[in-house]
Amino acid sequence: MFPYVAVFAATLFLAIIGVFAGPSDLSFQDTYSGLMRSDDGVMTTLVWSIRVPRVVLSVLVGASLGLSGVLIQLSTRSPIGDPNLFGIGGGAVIFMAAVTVGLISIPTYGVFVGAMGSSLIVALFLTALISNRNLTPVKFAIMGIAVGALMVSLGTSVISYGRVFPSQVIGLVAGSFSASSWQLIYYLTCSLFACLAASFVFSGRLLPIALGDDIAKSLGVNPIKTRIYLMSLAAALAGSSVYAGGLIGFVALISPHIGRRFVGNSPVALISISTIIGGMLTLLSDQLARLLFAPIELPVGLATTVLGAPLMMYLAWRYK
Amino acid sequence: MITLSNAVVEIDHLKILQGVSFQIFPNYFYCLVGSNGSGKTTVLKLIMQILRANSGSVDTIASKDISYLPQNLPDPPFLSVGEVITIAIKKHSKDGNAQRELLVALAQQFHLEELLDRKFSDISAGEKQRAWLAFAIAQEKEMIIMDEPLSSVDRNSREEFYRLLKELAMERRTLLVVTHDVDMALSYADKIISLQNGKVVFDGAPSEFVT
Repeated sequence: MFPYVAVFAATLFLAIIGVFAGPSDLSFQDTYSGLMRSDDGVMTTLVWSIRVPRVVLSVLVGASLGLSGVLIQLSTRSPIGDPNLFGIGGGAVIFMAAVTVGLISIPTYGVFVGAMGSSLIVALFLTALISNRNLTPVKFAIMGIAVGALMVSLGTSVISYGRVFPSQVIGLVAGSFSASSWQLIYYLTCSLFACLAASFVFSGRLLPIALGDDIAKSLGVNPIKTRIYLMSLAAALAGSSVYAGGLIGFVALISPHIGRRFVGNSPVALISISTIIGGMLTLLSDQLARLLFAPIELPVGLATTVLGAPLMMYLAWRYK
Repeated sequence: MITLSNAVVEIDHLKILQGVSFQIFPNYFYCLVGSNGSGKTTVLKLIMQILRANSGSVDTIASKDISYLPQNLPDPPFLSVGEVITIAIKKHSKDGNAQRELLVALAQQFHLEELLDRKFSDISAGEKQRAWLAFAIAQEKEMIIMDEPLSSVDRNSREEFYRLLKELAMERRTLLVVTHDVDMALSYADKIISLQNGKVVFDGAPSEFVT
């Protein structure tokens, strides 16, 4: 129980920083009174429509990424699994870029569904590539990184085609929570909890899959079908995270590795801890991005990469 | 019982099996021998219903009643030896205490006591083979099929491994092991089936086997 409580406490602590610290010079009392009131005063508006949504959204996006990462890693047996490194989030970036530059014009919920759908296409493509019998973690990682690079260049092409480089586009490719809203929170909460529930339903199949496809089959688990289901969930999570916060790297990759140190190899425990660690790490990164060089704000994806890349190098160094 | 009669398998117009017939009777230890490309693995795939015969008939038992160890198993990432074996135990036992007792018993039988908490990827090739065998036994199925289980193991470990297989066959289990290792098959198997170029060239007791 301790690791869950510790991560939860850290998240709560960071959330308090997220609400009380900021570039606009507000006293603690002002912020506190804004937090406690429900009028339409300046303080109330600032706290309840800027700071609180941003904190909540960064946790939800990070949790979606942590869950997405652990699902990819467990269903493919590859310790290197990250939807944003492998172009799954990139699919959503292309779609969102097309929406941002005005190539596609649809209502908000359509954009949300479209982002998840675009990620799903990439994820199913990757799953088809690796469904041959000689899947090794290294092959999968190489293919994933190639697809990821392809998606980034296609997304950039769409942005260049639109000839606009607004801050929205930077937020899309490098991650940002500056446009948080309660509507985004509503969407993300729905997708995260639906996918989390489905992950628990499939969790019993993950240990047999860890033993290889042939053995999984002899234990009564269909590895290919299971991989399609879990990669689809991972895609829905990655797509929704891009929709809400843009492309945020490394959170999905490292959350399961950190989680494994705490809870071991049980899939249910790994799924739970990776989800909450993802939320905590992203909230932490957003505080760094927001406060480190205030009033200038860095893209949150830069902060997660600065935190995540060295950590991943360390884990890779230790991995056999 | 498993019966193959005149089974033919063609892949890309190449006849891998050209009319293979034999029977596997329960509670015997069979070794399937033959050189590379003789069709050994294809026979196993027929029995496991991974492949279908182009002609002839294959009368086999449901693949869920066989514990099958294919060739070149990947190391399960991150898992310990005990965790891997427990996956098989959990398939039929829901009670935590019973699971632990069974794990301890298997660890003793296969000399894995010291290895249960070690990462699977950290143990030696011979130890991995014993762990996979314990995993196969832990599924508590009537039949065990192994494809080249000892490709990278020294002679002493092989002797020990075949002794274990022999003991298992005596405990009323059917074993079918594919191997290059004719010496071991001759000393330990109850029956030998030898394949050459997709045909059965010998099917009988080791004492009658002529190389």
